Amino acid sequence: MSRWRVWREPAVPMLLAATVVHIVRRDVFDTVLFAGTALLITWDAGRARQVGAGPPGRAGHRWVVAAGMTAYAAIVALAPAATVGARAAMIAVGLAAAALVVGGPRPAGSSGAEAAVGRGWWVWAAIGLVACLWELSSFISQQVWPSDQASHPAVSDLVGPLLTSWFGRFVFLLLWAAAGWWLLAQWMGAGRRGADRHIAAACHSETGRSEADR
Amino acid sequence: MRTVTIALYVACALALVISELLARYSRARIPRLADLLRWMLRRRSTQIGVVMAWWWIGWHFLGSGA
Repeated sequence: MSRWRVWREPAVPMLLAATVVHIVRRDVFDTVLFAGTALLITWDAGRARQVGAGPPGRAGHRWVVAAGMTAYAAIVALAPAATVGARAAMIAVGLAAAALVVGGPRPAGSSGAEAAVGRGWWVWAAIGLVACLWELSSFISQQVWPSDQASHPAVSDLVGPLLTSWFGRFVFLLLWAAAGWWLLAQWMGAGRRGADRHIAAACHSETGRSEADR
Repeated sequence: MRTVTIALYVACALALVISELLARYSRARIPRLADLLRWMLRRRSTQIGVVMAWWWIGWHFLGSGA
């Protein structure tokens, strides 16, 4: 039953709350995706995994990565939104990300960033919460007053028109890919620091044992 | 009302930028976004959730065309 403890962590309740919104939106794909991710987290929590240093590979070769992301954005931007080409390109990245996150090792406890975060995390949480609630209020307003949707635009309504041109899609994809790479770098940083602490603790324990043996 | 709605989105975006600037260049006890993220990513559930949320943003705008 220990795998259900993960439901006490923030990620699962947030995913389930988002699932409810997607049910109201009548979006089957998003509902399955969010509910499925909550189930994936639950399943993953029950797995015996090795503690390690983040995902395989390393976030180096910046220029190669930047060139790759630019080429990806330029090519995928040729396909208009919601076309087979755009969907295939997004799904390919999604599958790669899923393989990376599911296959990656479990994080090794708290990272070195913990001290740097302190109590100030609430500032970011408050901004995120206000943005989410405002987006939700726009969505609800659109449902309540469908004839007056222009007065309550969701972020999608504002960004969507920018993605009708190649340049708009190129910029969006470039930012999205860069955000994904940055996320990966932070993840690797968290894992590496966690693993370093894990290794340091193991070395310390080993040294203590050797001293005691003497 | 449309202007107010958009203004609050812009205010949230500005608040994010200002928070990061304060975290980097002032003595305010606000963590940098990168530190916050590394702290959050200690948890396996957050790793999976954050990666999925990132991918979904791309899908939402370009895959599903919402």
